[in-house]
Amino acid sequence: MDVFRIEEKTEKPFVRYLADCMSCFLCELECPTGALYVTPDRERRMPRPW
Amino acid sequence: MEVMMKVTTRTIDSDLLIIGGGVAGALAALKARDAGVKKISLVCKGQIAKDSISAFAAGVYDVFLPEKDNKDAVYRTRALKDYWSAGLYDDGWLHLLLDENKDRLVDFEKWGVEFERDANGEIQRMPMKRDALRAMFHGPQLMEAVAKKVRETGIDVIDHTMITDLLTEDGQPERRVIGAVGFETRTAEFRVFTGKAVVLAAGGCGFKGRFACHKFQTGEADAMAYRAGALMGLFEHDGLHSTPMDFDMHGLNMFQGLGGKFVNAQGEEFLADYDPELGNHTPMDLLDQAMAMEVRGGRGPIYLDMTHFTPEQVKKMRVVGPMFGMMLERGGYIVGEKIVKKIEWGPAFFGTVCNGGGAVVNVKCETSLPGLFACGDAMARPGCHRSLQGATVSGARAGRFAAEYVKKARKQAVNEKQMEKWKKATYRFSGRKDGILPDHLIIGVLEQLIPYGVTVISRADRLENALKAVEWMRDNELPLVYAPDPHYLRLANEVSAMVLVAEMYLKSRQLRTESRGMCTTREDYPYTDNVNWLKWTRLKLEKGKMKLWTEDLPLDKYEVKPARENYLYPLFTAATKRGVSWG
Repeated sequence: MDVFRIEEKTEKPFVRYLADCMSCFLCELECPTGALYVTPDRERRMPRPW
Repeated sequence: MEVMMKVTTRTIDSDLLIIGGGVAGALAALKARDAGVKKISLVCKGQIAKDSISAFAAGVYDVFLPEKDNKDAVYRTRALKDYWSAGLYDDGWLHLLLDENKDRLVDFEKWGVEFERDANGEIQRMPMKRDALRAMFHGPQLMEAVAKKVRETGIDVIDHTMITDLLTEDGQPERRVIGAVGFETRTAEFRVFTGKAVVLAAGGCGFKGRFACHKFQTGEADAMAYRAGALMGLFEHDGLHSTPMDFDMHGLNMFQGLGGKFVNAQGEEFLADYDPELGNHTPMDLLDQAMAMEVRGGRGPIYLDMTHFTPEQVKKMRVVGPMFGMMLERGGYIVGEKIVKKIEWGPAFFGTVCNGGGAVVNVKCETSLPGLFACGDAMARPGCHRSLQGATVSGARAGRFAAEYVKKARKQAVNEKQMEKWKKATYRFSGRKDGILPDHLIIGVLEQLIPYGVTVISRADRLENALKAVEWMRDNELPLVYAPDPHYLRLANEVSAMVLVAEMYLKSRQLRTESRGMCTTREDYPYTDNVNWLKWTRLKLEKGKMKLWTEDLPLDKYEVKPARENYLYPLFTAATKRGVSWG
């Protein structure tokens, strides 16, 4: 969810805001070089219903 | 105090401003273009086709085909059943959903959306949740095709821009809407949008909660319409779904359609006791309520069992929902083409996503404010609207009627005082050196709304406690939230809207003292009360306060009417039968 930014020195993308990754897998599905691997884990603490 | 971001301002002028880049906003833009509107700006908080719930619609789409289905039977089911509108439907909208849905399907096919087809090449439909017939498309490909059409049509798509407030005639509330303000989410540039009309299509409020991919839907459409003085309604309606306990995943419609079974800790399939008609195909609200009752009765945890699926069924799952196939594989649930273990499952509070609160509109998608149209999850919707079908039909209508308005309207100058007021409000979080990061309040709001005793099976004391906590956050913690960069400025404005929508939800739910399917379910008011509660809730900002009231359904104009009777909501009969106490 808009979590990537470009590292100034290397000009490579990196995950800047990990807590906001919603594990939607879209970045991995669309990555042209297969450089990404997404896990389904929640990054932000999530209360439980019981 | 120190302003930590350098803010520049950019003004963007168009004939029609559309806020939201999901399927409703895209349809509004395309239909307004068809109707002759030349300059259309479509603004997305993230990216068109990537940030809306329609990008993650799990590959299923309610499709009513007039040549194959019995309209009267479908109409009655969707009007009256607890798990559709539960009698709180809008007659005009229900007719339109059934009459115009086919046209939207034709649009999708024309624009290159891919559907699963049978041996004759016909679009394949399968009974899924609530036994509704649903077509299957290929997940994110639907919005990719729609977005491609939007770009080809020359509509100005403006990504990474969060709209925070609406501009009104002379800067006064409850007047004509003439534009909006917001900011670029990577540079914090202040953006002022002017136009002859505005279509609000920015989705509902999922509170960044327990469900896959609804983390961008944070209620700013509700918040900005409310602050502009629009009539709002239906916030007590449940937005319930369900998901694995330990990760967020969509696809339940597909899993139910393919034969997924819900079992309790004793391995018992229990849903037939709660829903004798639909059993494992039960709708989301009753599923969540039944799971909660089983846990209360000491038979938790609950699991979704799909270990009996064939390799062919697993293959179909992967085609229709590539993301949930990957999630299950990475979670160790799919090995090869086989599901190898049960998934612990639980409720997912959905907020106002798919059905529930929003701006009240008529069948032309006109809100109470001239020049402001609302569609999709930004409009108030009972359960019969159903996500994609409701969004496509209402989005197309919003574009068509907004175009008619634009042709007759004249542009008006922005009131500088109002613009400055909204600018100050938007950037108030960047004026601090330190404080509370938005995450603290995101989790704080979720801690109040996720417990099943508040949202799945409510009761007065628990609603009151949750409301007090939310009001405390509003008054004491929200003023301390700070945004160290533009990304956090978005999060801060999102959580500000979430706190407001949580208040709307809890107060509306307190107002409805009955239990009614896809609407409120309360164990202290366990009866569905068709004598006193065939009413819609309404709210608006009046003299700085949230005013709530009810409005009778115009039943004298309806062809199908709920019987004027009271009955114990079936959940409670089933719970008693299964030895679970409530009250």
